[in-house]
Amino acid sequence: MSTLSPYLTRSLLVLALVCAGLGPAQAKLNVVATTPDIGAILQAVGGDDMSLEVIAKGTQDAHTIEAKPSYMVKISKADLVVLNGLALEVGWLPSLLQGGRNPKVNPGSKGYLDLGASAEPIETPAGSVSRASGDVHPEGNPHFTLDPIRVGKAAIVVADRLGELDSVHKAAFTERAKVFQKDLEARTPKWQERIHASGIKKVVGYHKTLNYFFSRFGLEPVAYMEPKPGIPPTIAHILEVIDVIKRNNVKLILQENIFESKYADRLHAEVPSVKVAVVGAAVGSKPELKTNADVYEQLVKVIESAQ
Amino acid sequence: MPARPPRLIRHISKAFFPHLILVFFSFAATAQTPVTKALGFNPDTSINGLFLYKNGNRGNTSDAQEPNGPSLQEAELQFFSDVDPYSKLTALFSVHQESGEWKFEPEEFFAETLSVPGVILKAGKFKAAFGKHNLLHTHAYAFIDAPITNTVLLGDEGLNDVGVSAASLIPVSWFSEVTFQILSGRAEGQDYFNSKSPNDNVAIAHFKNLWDLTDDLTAEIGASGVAGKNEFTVNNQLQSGKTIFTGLDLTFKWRPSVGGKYRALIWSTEYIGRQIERPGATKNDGHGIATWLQYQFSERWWAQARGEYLKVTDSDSVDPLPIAPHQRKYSALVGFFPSEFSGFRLQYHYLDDGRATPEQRLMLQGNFTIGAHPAHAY
Repeated sequence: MSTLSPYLTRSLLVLALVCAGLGPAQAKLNVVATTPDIGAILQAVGGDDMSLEVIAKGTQDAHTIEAKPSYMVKISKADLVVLNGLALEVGWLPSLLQGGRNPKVNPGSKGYLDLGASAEPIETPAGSVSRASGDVHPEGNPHFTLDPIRVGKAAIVVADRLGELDSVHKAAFTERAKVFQKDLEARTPKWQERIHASGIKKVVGYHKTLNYFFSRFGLEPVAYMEPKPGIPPTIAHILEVIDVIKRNNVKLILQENIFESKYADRLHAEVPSVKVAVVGAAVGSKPELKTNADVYEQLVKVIESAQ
Repeated sequence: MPARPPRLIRHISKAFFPHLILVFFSFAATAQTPVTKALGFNPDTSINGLFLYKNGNRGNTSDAQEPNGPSLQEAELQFFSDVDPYSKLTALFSVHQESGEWKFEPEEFFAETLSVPGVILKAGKFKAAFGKHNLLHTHAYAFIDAPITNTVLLGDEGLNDVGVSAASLIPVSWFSEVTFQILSGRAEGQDYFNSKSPNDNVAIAHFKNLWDLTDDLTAEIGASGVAGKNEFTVNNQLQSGKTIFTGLDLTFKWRPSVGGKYRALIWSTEYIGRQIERPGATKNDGHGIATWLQYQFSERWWAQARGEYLKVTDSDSVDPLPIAPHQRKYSALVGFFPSEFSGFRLQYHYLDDGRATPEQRLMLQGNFTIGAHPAHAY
């Protein structure tokens, strides 16, 4: 027994070292993104060094995703949950997190990353907030992923957190995030030039989804088809929008494709000079929109074609 | 009779009630402001009010159990917040009328874990994990009223008691959850568990599975079992027997990932069986099934239909009214929802419960929610 002990001890030591070497280094991070735009940022930064699940689809309204128990299964296995934040997912993510029974991704832990917290939101309501104003987000407009500059910054935040959780791939995450951000920063002035050249300055939207894009590129949304955020259009309000379109000589209506286009069609019927463009406002909202840049490029092309 | 579990507030006087409501409404209104965000340790607060107008052929008499006319069907006051990184507390109070008297009662009041991997442990007073409908609060019912299988076999309040619970996910590729609960067995209205021994608790097991058949379609299957003790007297001798409930539920839910704001279809079916073992005395067994369709045909509109069948073998004091061996009920509903925080539902039902004249009733319900209401279960 005494002669076997040194062999046994060494064997156990070697086994422990092998296990230590194989464990964390080879296991990919399991990452869950709440929306396809956040998922696209993660895919660009994490690449093949992580395993990614995305909850909402681009064809769905991210405000009103149903908290399917199957999403809880994804969260139960996650090392990191990355959310858009600014209360976009407030109606469904808390119950998914609780149902996932995974303390690693509870709010406040390293496995929980709220990108909205560093997004410098626009349209933050001043004073008290009431639902009489519709579905107003107290922390500001949550759709910051429609701004290429903010998305570039979000990629850096994502890389930092991925690197904290997986130090082996930290350099790769950081490098990819920088490339991603530089690409968006380089393309933004070109998109700006093309939009400026189009001569389009005033537009009409359906929901306030595209406001970060409008703000970045100097477009002015003069009206929305929703009378208030989250409240479906009414005939009376559409008549008001028609008046606004005529008074402002609006040439383009940008209608997110998750909403019915019957109201936009009505506007076009009343004001034939205005063009209606049914656009994708999220990654995956149309089959060809596979990256965040694809979404911006599509919007720029639509604006160019409306001149 | 053994002492019942302590209850926070009972039978608040009519004079005090309006003041209490004002206090809660003031609190909820404040909870919406940025001021409260700075005071972020306040619990999330929501209030739901259900206003109901009824008109039926059995509601015209002075002694009608459910008289025609307007009423406050129920108001629910809910508070919830994380206690610390380890647990969360939920309190839900119900305000409603019983026999003309206002009542303010804790419908649920429980603490549950946030930091235990793989399991949610819960302790307090809560709706038992039995079947599908039993877990719902009144404002989340698929129809204005509960299925007769639930109200007759489980009682108006359903299975709702003080106890402990553990719910765990089974590590498979689909959602599979098993829940075990132990309840006191001494809740009000649950006389089918009327054993006086403090050791005669009620045991519950619930097994729920949900599969994503496609991106748009899910199938959910649940099975539940409840076992407890009852007491009865035969020839002046106190005897004990078992009370067993069984439940099965099946739900298909379709909501397309393209255009899902405007279309959805839900088909649910729930079976409940009750066996009350009373050798030599009235058995009072029963079973029933309810099946219903809910179709969303535009952003704000739903159309629904429900059919129910209930059979009871005997009737005694366990049930509030004499019940015919067979009951059938058919309901139709149209719902209009201006936003996710308000809704109006118009429901008609035809109930053949063995009386000379079947009941026909029309109901109109207004459903309003303010504050930070948590998401309903899928």
